[in-house]
Amino acid sequence: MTELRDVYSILPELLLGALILVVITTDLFLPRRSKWLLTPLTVFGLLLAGAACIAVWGTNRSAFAGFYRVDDLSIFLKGATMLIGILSALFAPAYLRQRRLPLGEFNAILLFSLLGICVLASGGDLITLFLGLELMVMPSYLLAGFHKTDRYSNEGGLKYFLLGSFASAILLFGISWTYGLTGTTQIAQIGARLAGHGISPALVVAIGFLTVGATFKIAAVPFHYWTPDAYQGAPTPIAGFLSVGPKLGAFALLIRVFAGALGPIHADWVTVMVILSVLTMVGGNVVALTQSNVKRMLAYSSIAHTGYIMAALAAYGNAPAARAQQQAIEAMLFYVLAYAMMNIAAFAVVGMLQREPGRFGGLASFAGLASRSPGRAAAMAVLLLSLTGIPPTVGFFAKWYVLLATVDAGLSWLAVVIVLNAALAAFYYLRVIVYMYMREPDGNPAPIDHSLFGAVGLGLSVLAVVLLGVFPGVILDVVRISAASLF
Amino acid sequence: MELLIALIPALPLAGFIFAVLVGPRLDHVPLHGQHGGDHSEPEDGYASDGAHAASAANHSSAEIDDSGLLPIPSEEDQGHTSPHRGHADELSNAAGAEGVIPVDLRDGLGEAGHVTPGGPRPLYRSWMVPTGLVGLAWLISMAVFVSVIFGGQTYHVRLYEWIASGTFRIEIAFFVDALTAMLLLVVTTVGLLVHVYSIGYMDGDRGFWRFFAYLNLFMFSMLLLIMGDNFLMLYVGWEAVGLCSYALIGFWYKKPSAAGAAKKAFVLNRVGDFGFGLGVMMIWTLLGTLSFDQVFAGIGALPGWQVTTIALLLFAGAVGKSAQFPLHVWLPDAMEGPTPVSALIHAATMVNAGVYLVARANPIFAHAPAAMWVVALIGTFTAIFAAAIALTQNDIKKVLAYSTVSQLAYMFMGLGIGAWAAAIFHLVSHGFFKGLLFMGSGSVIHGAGGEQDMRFMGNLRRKMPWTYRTMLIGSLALAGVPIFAGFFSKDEILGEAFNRGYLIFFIVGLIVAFMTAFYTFRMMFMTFWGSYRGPKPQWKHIHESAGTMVAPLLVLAVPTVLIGLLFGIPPEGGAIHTWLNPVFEAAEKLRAGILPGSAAAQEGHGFALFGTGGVLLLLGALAGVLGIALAYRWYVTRPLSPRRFVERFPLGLGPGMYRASLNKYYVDDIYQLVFARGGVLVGSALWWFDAKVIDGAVNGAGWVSQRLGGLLRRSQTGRVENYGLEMAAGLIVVLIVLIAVVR
Repeated sequence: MTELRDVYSILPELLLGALILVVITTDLFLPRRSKWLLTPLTVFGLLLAGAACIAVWGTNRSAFAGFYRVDDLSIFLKGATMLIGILSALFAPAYLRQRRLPLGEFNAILLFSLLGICVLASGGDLITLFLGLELMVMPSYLLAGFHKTDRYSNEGGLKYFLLGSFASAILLFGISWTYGLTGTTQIAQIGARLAGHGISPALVVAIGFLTVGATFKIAAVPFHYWTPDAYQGAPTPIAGFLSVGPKLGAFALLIRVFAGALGPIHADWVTVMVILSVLTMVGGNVVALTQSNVKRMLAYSSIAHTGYIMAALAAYGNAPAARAQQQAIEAMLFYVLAYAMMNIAAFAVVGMLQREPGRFGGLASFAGLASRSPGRAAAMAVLLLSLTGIPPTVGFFAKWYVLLATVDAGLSWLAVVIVLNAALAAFYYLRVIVYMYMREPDGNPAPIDHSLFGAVGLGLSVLAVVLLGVFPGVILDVVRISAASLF
Repeated sequence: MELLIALIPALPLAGFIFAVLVGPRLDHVPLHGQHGGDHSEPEDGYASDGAHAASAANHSSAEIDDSGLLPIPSEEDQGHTSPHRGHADELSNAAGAEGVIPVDLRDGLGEAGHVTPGGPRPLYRSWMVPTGLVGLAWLISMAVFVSVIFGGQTYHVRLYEWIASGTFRIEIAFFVDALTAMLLLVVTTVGLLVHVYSIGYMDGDRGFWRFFAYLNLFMFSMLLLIMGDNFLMLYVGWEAVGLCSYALIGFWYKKPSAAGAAKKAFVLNRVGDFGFGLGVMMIWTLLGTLSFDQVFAGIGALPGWQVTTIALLLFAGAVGKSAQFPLHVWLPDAMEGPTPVSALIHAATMVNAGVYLVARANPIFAHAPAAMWVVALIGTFTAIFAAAIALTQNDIKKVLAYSTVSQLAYMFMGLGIGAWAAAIFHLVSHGFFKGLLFMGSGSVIHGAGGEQDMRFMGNLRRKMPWTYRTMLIGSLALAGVPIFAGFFSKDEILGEAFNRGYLIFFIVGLIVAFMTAFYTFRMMFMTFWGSYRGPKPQWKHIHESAGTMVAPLLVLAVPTVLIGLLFGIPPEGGAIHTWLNPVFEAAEKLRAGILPGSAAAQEGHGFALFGTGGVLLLLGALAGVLGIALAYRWYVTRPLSPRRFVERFPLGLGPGMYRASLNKYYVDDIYQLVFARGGVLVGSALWWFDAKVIDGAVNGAGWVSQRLGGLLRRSQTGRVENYGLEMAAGLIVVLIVLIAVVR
């Protein structure tokens, strides 16, 4: 029953797939000193795919016999995916070159992972979701262990793989129970059948395994153990990608599973989601507080941000009316996008200070950065302020809408927890700013990478962080339409 | 014009961005060759400037009483190793010798830089763009001022809707009426002059560009604060100026006392800001809007107790920001910052934010008579309290700091009794003359090689004639001598207190005026008259400051002389009332209705030189002149008399009173005792104070979370099988929770 319209509606994915082939083939023929051309090629291809997203905007239909759902929500997530891809492609080359890691393979693996996120975003069926998920995380395992000669990178990659497989198995188990209960894997039908179905012990098992499997992928506490090791070992720009890309995909999974399939029985899973959300934000923050390595601090703080986004999902579960439910999804989408931009760029700045392979991104390497590289210091300061949630940056609005959503959903106490956590986070984020602006560089300051691609990527993300903070209206409309397509 | 108004805050913001991004590349500061590495300013300064080091060393050994000026001379009595330092620093004195070295010592580094053997001359260019942009903002502000004040215009510039989510709507919009115009006049004028002044003052500092970046950020925040058309913008600006103040007080962050003072200012401001934040939230919850006109239109419909609570919460913010009792202790310590910062932030602009807030929110306060009483009482008490401390301080900047607290309190007294326009008048004139005095004191400190203790000054008018002349004008204004600005503005507050029947406030105000005149001229005589009491070799090094530093003093002297005459004649009915009355009209009417007694007084009273008005004016002038006369007698003609006065004070209370005043009535000590000494080492006391009070609950949780974090971190063993096990345990817990909650 495949129609031509089905094919057209997956134009972004098709372009992405084509781009992968082009990158792999080009890499074969490019001489070593021209490898850098792969970066503009990848960026250009991703821009094309992003343009394709705009072209299919407003489609809102199911394709391929319901296995694929192309709505504005999925297209918004795909657009964000392309953005993450572009930033990753810009930030990575210098770091990889300094460690003699192959650029072509990186770009290809990155693109595979992006394709997985896109499939995940459009999953209209539990099987599609699982396929997309695996397509997303398999390349991620490779990326985490991308620095083959580095012990830590190997270790992180292996841990990520082992635990990730464990979680995938749990998720698959949950999917099979759901199928057993409802007799279908189509998300739209699951919801309808569960709504009429009474609560049974089997359903509890299904929800439990789905929850654990999915929240592992977003690194919620207590399923976060793989994150710090994987991020710490991975090459820094790749850690930046891992902290936002697969997370974006996993949140797409959460929205599809919890707001889609399990939406009608939200009263049953909301408590677990609230508990996990509080655990995640508190756990991530308190451990981040004790870190003196900025890279590891960012790894833990990314866990805390996950907690805020989960709070929005909990708000969806607790919302009394459809309007409040939609507001919660809007808050999630806005936060995911804002978080993606600021976190990947913050990791990139850490990477720029690791030009010398022996550097690990400790706090000391940020000392006196303001006078050594004013532009990068200012960019990092803006990103950190945004991560803290200080106006007028996009991070402020991201938190603001999550707060609004939780309050409107009747979870005011959760809003208080978020505010307290944000205040706690200010401590370790602002500490880096203090180091940059109020400390003299130490005797042997880390060399700074000044490559063009990195600077362009950094400039773009900082510009977006500030502009979206000053004019949030632009993106809010897009978010509103995207969220509406779910209902 | 609308676009130009939006440009006023935008220009300093652009300056800030420029200074941060390009500034470091514009300055060239040679490192000292023999050391090779990076050295902090203080180290450089100490090492290379023998004269400073000598003068510093002399402090500890010199017999302090050599001039007979000081009744209770011995250092033990004061409980300070270094006479001009607050308690915050005392903590750090143990850390090393830095504690003894005068605060503004690194000013001398400019000269030190020049003599570095073989090194190129340091080059500073990062001031140009920031100063130029502030200059432009000043020009526009003046145009706006003229158009608002003389053209009778008000501007409401709506840029765009910043937050639009559901019912919560906030616009980015600027509102300029006569009140804002008055503050624009002070903020941009003093701001520009301080920029110019800092070029000379900060010369030689490694953080030159950083200083200008902060200054510009401060200007932006302050302009946002006074120009915003809603409480949220006011609040954002309010927090931002606090942040800049923190960064600038602690500008020399390597000096523990400066870092401590910055922390103290931050913490105490947070206490006030917490109240302010609650007040803003309460307004939002009760009225559903934050824009000024809507809030002021709707406030009357609320029950009285709610309005009073809002007013008191807002005033709590004002108490913190404007350093009123009991949160005043941060301001004197804030003098650890560079002197231009003291002049700009801690005398002329930021500390006025509290006065501005109360004046701006006058419709709220007018609906809450009880809150007005609180404002007036706190103001009156702080006025006399701070003045009583200023009487005995020996650090020139501390005298001015307490004087600032006292004068701000004067304004609050005026606000509290409903003398809105008079209070704003005093704000404007005080902004100018106190800015002048602070910059003058900076010039003195700069020229005297970092000396801040007036006991080691004297006769400086021979070396610094221009600093002396301009500071004399400022002092005459502060003392309330007729013709000068302070005379008119202070008398208006006194006069209104009398006319409205607040006799107690009037009498206290008169006493404070006398005390003000006394300590001001005590400072002038100790600094510029008599004979030089510092170390002899130092005398020949004392010099008049550079042109960029003296010029702002001369410029500021002009409004100090003229502004009273221009704005304040005839007294209590001068031009300033015509300009400001529209802002306070509603509040005035309301008050007249609430307090029928004062209504009659208001209608009936007009100024008559040969009537009550004239007598009041004469009394005010007399208080000032008497204060100066006493200072002259005690510190010029009969140098021993203050000691005798203290010794012969009835009941033997003299020495105790003197010590109490010198130690700032032990408020700092009490705070120290209450907040800090809870079994914690004195050295970490401030750190703990910080940790406990900043967002109290949050950092209380911070301590717990550090522990918790350590625990959680330990569960991060690095072994995959452990992780797998922990995950499986998590899965089981999730299942249990699900079984428990699913019905």
